[in-house]
Amino acid sequence: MLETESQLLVETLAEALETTAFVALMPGEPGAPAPAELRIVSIEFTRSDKAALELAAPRAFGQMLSANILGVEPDDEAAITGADDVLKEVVNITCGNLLMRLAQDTDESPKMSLPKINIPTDEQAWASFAHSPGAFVLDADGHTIAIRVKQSLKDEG
Amino acid sequence: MSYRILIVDDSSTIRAMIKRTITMAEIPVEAFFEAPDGRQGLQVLTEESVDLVLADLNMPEMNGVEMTREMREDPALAGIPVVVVSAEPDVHKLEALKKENIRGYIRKPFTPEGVRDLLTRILPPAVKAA
Repeated sequence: MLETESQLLVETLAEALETTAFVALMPGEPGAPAPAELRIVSIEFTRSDKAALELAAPRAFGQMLSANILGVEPDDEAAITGADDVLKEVVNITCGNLLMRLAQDTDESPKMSLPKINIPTDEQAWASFAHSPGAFVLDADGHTIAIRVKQSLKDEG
Repeated sequence: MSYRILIVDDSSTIRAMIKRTITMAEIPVEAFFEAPDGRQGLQVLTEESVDLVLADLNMPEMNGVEMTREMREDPALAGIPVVVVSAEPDVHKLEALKKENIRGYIRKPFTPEGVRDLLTRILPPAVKAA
């Protein structure tokens, strides 16, 4: 991704988090310890190539977002059960708005899939994600998260 | 008079968020109905009287456009206004929604003010909130 596109990625995530769940985003520490109960949410999209936007975040982050959206405490049953669902929606919103901005004033018709969530079993999953090219480590109201765009996926279809 | 609103979205959190946003926007609601995809949304419409449908575009089983097309072919459902609530990135696809008889578009993420402004324009004037 170009530098301006990378900046746009972080700005778009920040806007999605602030508007949907009143959460502020700050730069994080790339060397931060691996979050507990890590989730990696990904959504594939197609512009000129097939790529994917991915978010790595602890389950507790989804729980906090869910609680803010629903207006309940984070330990409320609704916030707990909605944690993974809201992480997928944040990725869906971020990807949709990022692609729309990138396609502005062009003839592009970007397409995106439904978001998928993965619970990694590899203990190195966080470090490998956080240190991968183009990844941004961020602090979202005390939760360490990371986001990246994974370019040029091979078409499985 | 209050409205009966169907929310069709595969995310239960977004359905809850839309309900909360409409309530915060002080739009009077008699009943909310929910469905996780277009197919189940159509099922609700056969069972309940609804004043407005808010539908996502990108859903499993049946998406929002397909659901709207089926509604248009059913005289009993054709008059119900549909508003799309989505993060769809393709502006050409959004432009094409006008041909699908979709009455409005709310982009995710949305604010209560944005939802209120659009819905008060679209809801039937006879029962529009004061």
